[in-house]
Amino acid sequence: MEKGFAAARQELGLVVFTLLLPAGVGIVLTGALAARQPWPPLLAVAVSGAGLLASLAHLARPLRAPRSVTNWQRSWLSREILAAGAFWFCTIAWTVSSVLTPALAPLAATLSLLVGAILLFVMGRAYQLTTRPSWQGPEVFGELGAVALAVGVPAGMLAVRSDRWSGVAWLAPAAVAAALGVDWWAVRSRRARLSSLAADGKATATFNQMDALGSWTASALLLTAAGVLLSLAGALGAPAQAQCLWAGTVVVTLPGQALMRAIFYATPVPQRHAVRLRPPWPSAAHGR
Amino acid sequence: MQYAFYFDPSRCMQCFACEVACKAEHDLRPRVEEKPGARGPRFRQVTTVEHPAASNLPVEYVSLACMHCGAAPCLAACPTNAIHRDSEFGVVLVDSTRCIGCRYCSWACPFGAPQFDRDGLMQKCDLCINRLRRDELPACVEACCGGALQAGPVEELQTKVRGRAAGQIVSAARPSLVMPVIRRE
Repeated sequence: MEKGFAAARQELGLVVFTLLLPAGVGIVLTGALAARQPWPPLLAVAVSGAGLLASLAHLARPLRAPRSVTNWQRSWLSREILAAGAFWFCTIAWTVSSVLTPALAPLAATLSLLVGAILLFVMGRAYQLTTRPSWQGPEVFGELGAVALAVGVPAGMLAVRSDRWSGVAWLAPAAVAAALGVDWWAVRSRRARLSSLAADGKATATFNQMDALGSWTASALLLTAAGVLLSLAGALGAPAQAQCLWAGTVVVTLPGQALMRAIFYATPVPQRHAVRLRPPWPSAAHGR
Repeated sequence: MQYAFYFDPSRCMQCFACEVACKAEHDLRPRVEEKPGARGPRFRQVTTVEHPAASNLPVEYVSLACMHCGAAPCLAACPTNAIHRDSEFGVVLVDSTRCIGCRYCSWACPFGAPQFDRDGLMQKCDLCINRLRRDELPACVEACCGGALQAGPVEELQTKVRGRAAGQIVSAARPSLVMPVIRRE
């Protein structure tokens, strides 16, 4: 990785956290549509549990992590941790009910999906900070949803038994295509929004960083586009081939979305630094 | 009572006395003891703001520390309630025994006040609260030789600033400043 990713390297735990938790929500979405199977929720438990563990990696005092929910009345970070924990427990409840009380499984699936949707909102809300203009916008919510669709849904398909595919076979290509669209919109929308702020020069340093990582953004979008083709082939192919193609989809979309998350953490230049780098040239020239 | 800093950029000459005094008061390591690339914690930072478009004053020096904001964004952002407000002077303080080192406060703060040492826990300017309790000025204010930095109750500082601004207007006595007021009357 090049120098531009230095900020993202510091937040590696958060890159993994914001990759695996939304992926868990995507798995839950697939599992909820092909209900009464224990494997999708079990996979969601494993993936979101790994995401929660990864979030501990960026803390200086991981053993004090349980205290992070104490300011839930005011802090969106506290609410994010609460929602992530609630989502994880819901997926555990769904897994247990799928095995012990299958009649309750659809209810647990619906509850997991609802809490997952709340989790995506709260995760996005935690990044709505006035000090980081490139984060403070609707794109964050879209990007987190794109991770759920591009990584979670094909991963969920892997866990669904092939005799249950009839209703959901087209879900994977549709989801990955939607994720590609959302990512494309997020990149363009962020740039347009920042260019409207750039009149005072505050976003110029962020633009410079965006330009430096432009080829990585293109690579991430290309990987997701490859995922669309693979998942489409999976939907058209026989069950034995489809499993391999959906696994291939996850293999390409996972690094693609991980790259998008890393760019997200690498891009914003804090406003106080950006002001110091106010340019002598007209900022409108950067608003492409 | 809410205490605060007042900084007048026109009086700052970038001598770094405030930054040095702050480091000495809080036992912070000098930068030369840091590894290459690391800065070490700086509760007060003297920075240069460039104004390339301005012809007569292209740079300005700003000595920045925690502003102990009335509605402190770090206080609302902290997930563990480690950041709190002192009831005596209104100073925003951090309890390092509750801090988990998530760095969310550093994202929320517009002034770059939260600093992180080698232990990864947040520390920042405490407005030299121990000195305030002894009726002394904060170390940076005492060290400022240009009179750019002041500290005290917000109301008192506001009165000072208003007085200074009024004095400047009167001494300037420029018709372009005064005439519109006369016309309105």
